[in-house]
Amino acid sequence: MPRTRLSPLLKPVSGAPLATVRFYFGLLMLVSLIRFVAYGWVEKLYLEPTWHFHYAGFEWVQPLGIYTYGLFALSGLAAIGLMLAHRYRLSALVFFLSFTYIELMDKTTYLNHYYFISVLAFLLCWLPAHRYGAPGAGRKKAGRVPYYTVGAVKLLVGLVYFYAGLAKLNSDWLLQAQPLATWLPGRTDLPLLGSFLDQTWVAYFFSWAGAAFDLSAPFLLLYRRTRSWTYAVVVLFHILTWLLFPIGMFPFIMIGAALIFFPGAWHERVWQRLAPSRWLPATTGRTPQAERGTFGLRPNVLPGAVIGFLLLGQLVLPWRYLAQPGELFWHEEGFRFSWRVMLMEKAGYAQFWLENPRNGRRQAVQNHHFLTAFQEKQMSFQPDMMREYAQLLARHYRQSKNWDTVAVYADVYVALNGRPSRRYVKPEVDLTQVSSAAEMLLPFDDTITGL
Amino acid sequence: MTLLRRFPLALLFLTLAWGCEENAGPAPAKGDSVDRAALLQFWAADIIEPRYQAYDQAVNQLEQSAQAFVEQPGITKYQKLYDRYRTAYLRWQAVAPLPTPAAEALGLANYTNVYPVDTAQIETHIREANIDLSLPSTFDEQGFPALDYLLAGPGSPQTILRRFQDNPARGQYLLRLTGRLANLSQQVMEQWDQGGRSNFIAADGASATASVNQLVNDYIYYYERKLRAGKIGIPAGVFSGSPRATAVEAPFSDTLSRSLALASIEGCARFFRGESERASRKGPSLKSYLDTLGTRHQDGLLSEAIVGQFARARQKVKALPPSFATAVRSQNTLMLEAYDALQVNVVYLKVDMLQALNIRVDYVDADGD
Repeated sequence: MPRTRLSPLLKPVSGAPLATVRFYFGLLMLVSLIRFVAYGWVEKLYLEPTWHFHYAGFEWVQPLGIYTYGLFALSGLAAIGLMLAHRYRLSALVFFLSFTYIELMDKTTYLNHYYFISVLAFLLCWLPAHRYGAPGAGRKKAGRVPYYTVGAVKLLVGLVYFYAGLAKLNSDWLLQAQPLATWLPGRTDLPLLGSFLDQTWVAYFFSWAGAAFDLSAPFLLLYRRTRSWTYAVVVLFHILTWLLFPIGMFPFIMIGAALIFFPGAWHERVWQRLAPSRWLPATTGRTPQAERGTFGLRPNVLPGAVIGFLLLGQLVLPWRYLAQPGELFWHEEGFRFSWRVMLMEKAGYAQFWLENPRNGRRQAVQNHHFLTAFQEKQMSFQPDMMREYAQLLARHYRQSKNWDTVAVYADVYVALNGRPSRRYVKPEVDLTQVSSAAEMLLPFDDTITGL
Repeated sequence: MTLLRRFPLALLFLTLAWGCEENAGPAPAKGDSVDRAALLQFWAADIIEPRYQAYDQAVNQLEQSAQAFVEQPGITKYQKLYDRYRTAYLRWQAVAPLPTPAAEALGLANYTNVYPVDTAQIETHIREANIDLSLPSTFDEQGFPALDYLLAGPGSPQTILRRFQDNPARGQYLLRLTGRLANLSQQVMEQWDQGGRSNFIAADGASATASVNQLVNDYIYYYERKLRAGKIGIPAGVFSGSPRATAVEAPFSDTLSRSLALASIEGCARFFRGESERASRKGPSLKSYLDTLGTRHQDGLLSEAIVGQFARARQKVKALPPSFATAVRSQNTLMLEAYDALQVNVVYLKVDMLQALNIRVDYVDADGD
């Protein structure tokens, strides 16, 4: 590739923004992991269930019994390593692998912000975020990084907002103010704001303002004139969502990640004020020759290519639902990993039936014999989890109850965004014999227009 | 869309509201809000408290007649004792769907009504007379199901009576069971009076630990697991493929299981409709909550669909023989029909109602996004 085309991407810029994101991310991850353990969620979500839902291809990822706590400890140590940029690349890699392993252990706990953490951690493995703001950075580094490394984080963070905004451009969100019209009246107990939350116009206001914010924030953060004000709105927006919804650490992750949009000089000022001087590079003007090696300013094929493919994947992945006919909110094929955040209120009830076609024996399943309440709740409206559960039931009854053949049917009712519940799964379909939502679901019988 | 036209105005209002937070006046009129505090107040004063009081009175009278009977086991005292057992068991059905925090902490339901009972173990305990009934392993050796075995176990009333006359240890175990029921009830009542009620009313928020969320989750849990599955589904063989006459509630009494199931449905339905137990009046309820929100189901209101379904389930259960042991042996199809009728409301309550009320069906809390 001609060097001139790439040169703006390779322009040396301050490494301070990357350092800020790295430090803040490591700190927040440490807090998140401690919080997770302290709430007893390792026990509840990974050790108590007798069985876990898996992502296709990752069935081998299982909780490690009591050693699961060790995994959390390892992840926490790696988060400290990230913060201090101690053995930076190893820390980033260990954090990415351990955190992702934790997320792969059970599909039930899927959250968009956990996915964001994994993606950002993976990206950090390939970024020189240790050049600035770390013990020892003052000795040898000039703290400069090629522009594309900062740009990659901006693009990733921008995509999260922008795609979250695009996903809101549908008739339920904009014209019915759903699901906010369902969720907000439940929070009338909040001081000051609470007394407004059961009014219809507030749900509409939040819906429209939320969509407008998500769509415009990445662009407004790019420009100097609008940046500070937009960042203030970012903080306000995320604090509001934190007050209103049980979304844990996500608001704080985004508040930190959005700092990437501030210019290098701003970050350097913050670091100079807050960090000991040996954490800061001695000179910021010239780039020493020593730094031009791996991950340096010279175009480096491997990290560049990995980052390029990652971002390309991020751009494309949210659109994969277009390959599926039917309403995405109904069948959910392509719903995960596409920044559809707080987008729908969906709940279901699933009664499974086992049938032995040979002797006509038929009996219902008490889900709590196999699943925790949380697993049952999540399974009750997600077709892929129903199929996996059906396989588990069939296996269990073949192996432990000596049934020769097992067919699994289900009476499932699902309510979506305030619509009355309706039958969801075709009652005559043997769920052990299907591999897609299209084969098992009844049609939605309503339309949601938009993206 | 008029609402869309009001949008810029709305924006202005909210900005103003944020702008003058510091000297905010009285809260503006609530549009269609639900007053959770009033709801909890009514539930506490008019439903929960009178139901627990009635139950407490019944188990105390049960204990008294047990004492009288054990002193002089005779047929009249036996009949009075059985009568009071029956009354207390029926009143338990109104209490069970609405566990207070204290009842939950004590495990009241586990010590009161876990069935089927382990009759062999009960006979062992009568012989050895030293069992610690607070052990979780003894759930199925005490409470009303164990009383059912002792007071209505196989044979005529005369045979049953003779067992007590022949073996005083049997009477002693009976006294332990009735004493324990009375004692547990008393503990729950005391904790309710000493701060339980005011804490219950004070937790009027919308979080997972607030009273409305907790009680409604418990209520639905009861409806799904104890009423639908426990009283009808499991004996009818819905979960095992073949009927299980031994799994019915009060299997030794000839005419009790249907009455208990009807009392349970009635207790659930009255709570849903907000019927006071103190006077013939209605107060704020899940029904009025749904109506305030205007939640619809198909052509009508969701609340009406739920009330109608309670009535249909009651009809189906009324059509059963008074003893479910007989029902599962000779007319199990009717049992299955009753199960199906109860099942419909599981969906209405657990999916439609919880979504409308924005209550998370969660016995675990975790982050969402």
